[in-house]
Amino acid sequence: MQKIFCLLIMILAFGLITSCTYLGTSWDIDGMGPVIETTFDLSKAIGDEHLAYQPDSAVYINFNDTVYTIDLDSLAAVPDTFYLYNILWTFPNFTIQPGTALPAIPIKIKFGVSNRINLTAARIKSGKLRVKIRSVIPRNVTVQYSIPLATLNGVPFSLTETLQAAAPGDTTVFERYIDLQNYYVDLRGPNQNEYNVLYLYFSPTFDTNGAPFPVTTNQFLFSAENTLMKIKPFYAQGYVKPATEAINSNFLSLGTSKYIKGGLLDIDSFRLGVKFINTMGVDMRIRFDQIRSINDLTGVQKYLTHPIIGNYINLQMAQNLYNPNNPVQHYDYNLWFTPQNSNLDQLIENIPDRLRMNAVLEVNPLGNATANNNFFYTTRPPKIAVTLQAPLKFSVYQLQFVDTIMNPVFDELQLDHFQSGTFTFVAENKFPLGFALQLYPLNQAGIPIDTLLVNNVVAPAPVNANLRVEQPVTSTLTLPFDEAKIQTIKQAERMLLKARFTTVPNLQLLQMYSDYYLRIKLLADLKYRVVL
Amino acid sequence: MTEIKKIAFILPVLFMFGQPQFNRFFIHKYSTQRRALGVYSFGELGSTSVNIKFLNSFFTGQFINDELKNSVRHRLGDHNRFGIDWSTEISFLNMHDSLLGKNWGFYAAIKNRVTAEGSFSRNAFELPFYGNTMFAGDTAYLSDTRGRLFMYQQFQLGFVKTWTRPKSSHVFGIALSYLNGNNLLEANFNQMNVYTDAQADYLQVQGNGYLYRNNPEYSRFFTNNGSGLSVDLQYQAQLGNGFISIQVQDLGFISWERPGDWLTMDTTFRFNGITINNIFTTDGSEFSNFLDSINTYYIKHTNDRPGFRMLPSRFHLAYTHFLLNGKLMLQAGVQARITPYYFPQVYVQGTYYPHSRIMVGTSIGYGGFGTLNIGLDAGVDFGKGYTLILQTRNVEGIVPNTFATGLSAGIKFSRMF
Repeated sequence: MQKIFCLLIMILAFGLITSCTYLGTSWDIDGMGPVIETTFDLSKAIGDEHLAYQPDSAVYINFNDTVYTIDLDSLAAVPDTFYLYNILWTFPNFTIQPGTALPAIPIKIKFGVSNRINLTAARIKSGKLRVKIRSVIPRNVTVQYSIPLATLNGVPFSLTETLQAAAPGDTTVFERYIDLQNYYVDLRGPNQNEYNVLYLYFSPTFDTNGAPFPVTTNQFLFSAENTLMKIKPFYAQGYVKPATEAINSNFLSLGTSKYIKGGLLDIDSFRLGVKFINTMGVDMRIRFDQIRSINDLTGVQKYLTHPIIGNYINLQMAQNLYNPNNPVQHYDYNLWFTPQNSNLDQLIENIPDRLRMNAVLEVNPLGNATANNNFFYTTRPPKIAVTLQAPLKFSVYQLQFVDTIMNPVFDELQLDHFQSGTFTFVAENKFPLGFALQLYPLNQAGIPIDTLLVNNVVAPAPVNANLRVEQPVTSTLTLPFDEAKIQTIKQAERMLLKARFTTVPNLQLLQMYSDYYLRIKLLADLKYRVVL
Repeated sequence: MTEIKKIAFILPVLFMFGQPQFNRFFIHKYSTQRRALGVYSFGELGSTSVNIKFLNSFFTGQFINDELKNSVRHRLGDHNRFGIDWSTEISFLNMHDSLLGKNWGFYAAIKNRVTAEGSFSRNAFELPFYGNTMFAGDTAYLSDTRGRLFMYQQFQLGFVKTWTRPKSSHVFGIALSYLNGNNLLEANFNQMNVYTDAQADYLQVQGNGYLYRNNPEYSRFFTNNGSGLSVDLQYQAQLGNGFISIQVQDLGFISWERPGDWLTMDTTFRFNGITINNIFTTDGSEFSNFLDSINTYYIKHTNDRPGFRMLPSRFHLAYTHFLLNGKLMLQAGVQARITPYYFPQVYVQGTYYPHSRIMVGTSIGYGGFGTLNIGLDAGVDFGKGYTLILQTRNVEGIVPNTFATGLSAGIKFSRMF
């Protein structure tokens, strides 16, 4: 009887423990509310750095890009280099008395190996000289190591170190890393008639308390290892040898045709600026052979026509101001292409993905006219900059925008809880630009398998007599769904976004203003399954 | 009359410090035993509006359909109660202690007590279970929704004194308890309103309330988040075949000394949707930033001690009458608790012994955490002082249905010697 009782109790307790759980408990609720809101204006679409504003809040676009930069770091490169110098007794046999100072021994190392420049001077931005000296002399020797033509604030570099007497058959060593930051190095040698060379001087003095030291001709005394490590000049001077650079660069790569698949675009007056900034103390000249716009979708290329195309432009050398804060007075050459002096409008209305420049830059075409006084600062390289400026005033008609986007709710498990309902996009539009929008879930093969939006048109805001919008217009886009559609959305890794834009009034150039915006609010009204 | 004397004698042994309506025993067999060792567990839950079928579905991982939700909804009032009590104990009572003297006895028990109770508004049920669409253009009032949960262990020592007069006998008992507090959870929303715009353009939450949870590292069984004291008092008198019992239980407090987490909200918050600053450059961090901003600006998180909390003390008055030489016991009583979540409960019950080893009983009552409750008891005597009693006060809720709003079960295994 008691066993049966105990068994019953155990079964009851087990049943109570295992049956009580709210995990998996579920029920449906009908919920509604805002989900997200976002405001789209020109500064967000184009980027504030690319916009300029007029006093009447009219918006101008101002795209800047750099087409080409001369790489001065490579021009002034000083590769890591190792030099071993063995010092022998080159005189007849002799006994060196204590306290004797031997004559300074010059060590010549190459500083800079670019074949494009003969360096006569440089100031070091960073880098070190590693000095390692070995001695086999069984006497204490004091060594002075100096570089007279490497100065910091006018003081030549020098160090003194004592090498202890070497044991028979052994060597004594000292090693030192010398920081050359901010050193000015004269690379013309002691007679001022060389280049790319640096002289170091090694001066040993025998200890006064040591014994006389007999030496024989060609006897090895010292070795000196000198290693240039990660030397980077920020100023270089010398002779920059004549060279020709071919410039073949894309610029203003907007990738437009990736999104714009068709339609008409008419843009009001705009201009393309090309600016060559010569920061080197070197004369140059440039010849623009081609400037063209390329639409990768259509393959159409439009070539710029302008009198400067194919002709050389001389670019004067910059002036060295020797001012650490403003070291160089650069020479700027500005060139503006406009619809009036060129066919620029054809290039822009080609809806280009990119512009491309083919040019020839000649450096120091006149040779060493400055007598080795060419210069440059590596932190201020010469460059070609371009600017595209235009009032944001345009007309579009059925301009089709297409993009494939990653589905932000791909494989989102929460979607399994959505039973049915409607997502509503409330669009408050103050642009005189209407558009029809559609979203297509794509299958693995990239083929649309559904359309999501039922009402899909955002109406343009009306303009007044001055072609300016005063009041926004609100439109409603709806995305109804049931469980099947939710699963379609969930399983689509990517979605195709299509929009077709038209300004109203049609074919009328309309200026965009900074107070134009599109505010979108996503509202949800749905049946949702709560699962604990 | 002989049986009545036996009854009078045994009363102090078995009625002390327990709830009188649950004290069943085999009078005929064990009227002279002076010691009792018992293991007892009783749990109950009840509500004025949430029915057992709903609770069964909720706590067994089932789907709650609209019909089931509606069965709760049609019972909802403006203020609705719920509560859970679960007490498990092991106790020993000795009325034959030579040290204490004649007619003195002592009682010792270790109990584990869990009490959860609260109240909620009509909308506080409707909003989470129906959603806010039904409140479009309207406000869901969640105010005066609150609840709390205590879990503690009770170490109880009591003394019992009996004395007999020619025509009556009397029993008085007092027990002191040290309370080891483990778990305190509190939720209190004095004001909480959620307005849903008719076009779903925004939601507006206006709230004033807090959530408290004490240190979870010390909220487990036999760990300590606070300590307290309580006292139980009981007086019984017998005159002829009638007995009256007056009882005060859990008159005490726990001082929750160890700091816990407070989440306090006192704000008005309008939700217009999560703002995506730039749809072209967003990385989705706005969603996590939104949650962070709610924590930062609308919910104040502090760590502090909650201090004293009074126990939900119980007051009980009962009258018992024996008939048929003690084979039939009729009882009527009323009990109340010092808590706003408990309605004074009145009940009547009867106990009958169809066989010397079988006991059956039934009861009917109204009040408590819930409303109507119908009880059923059964007991078996295994001989040699071993007895087992199974009981429920809510036979109407044993099979899940939408009528019953209470569920309870108890088991008591004891030996008298």
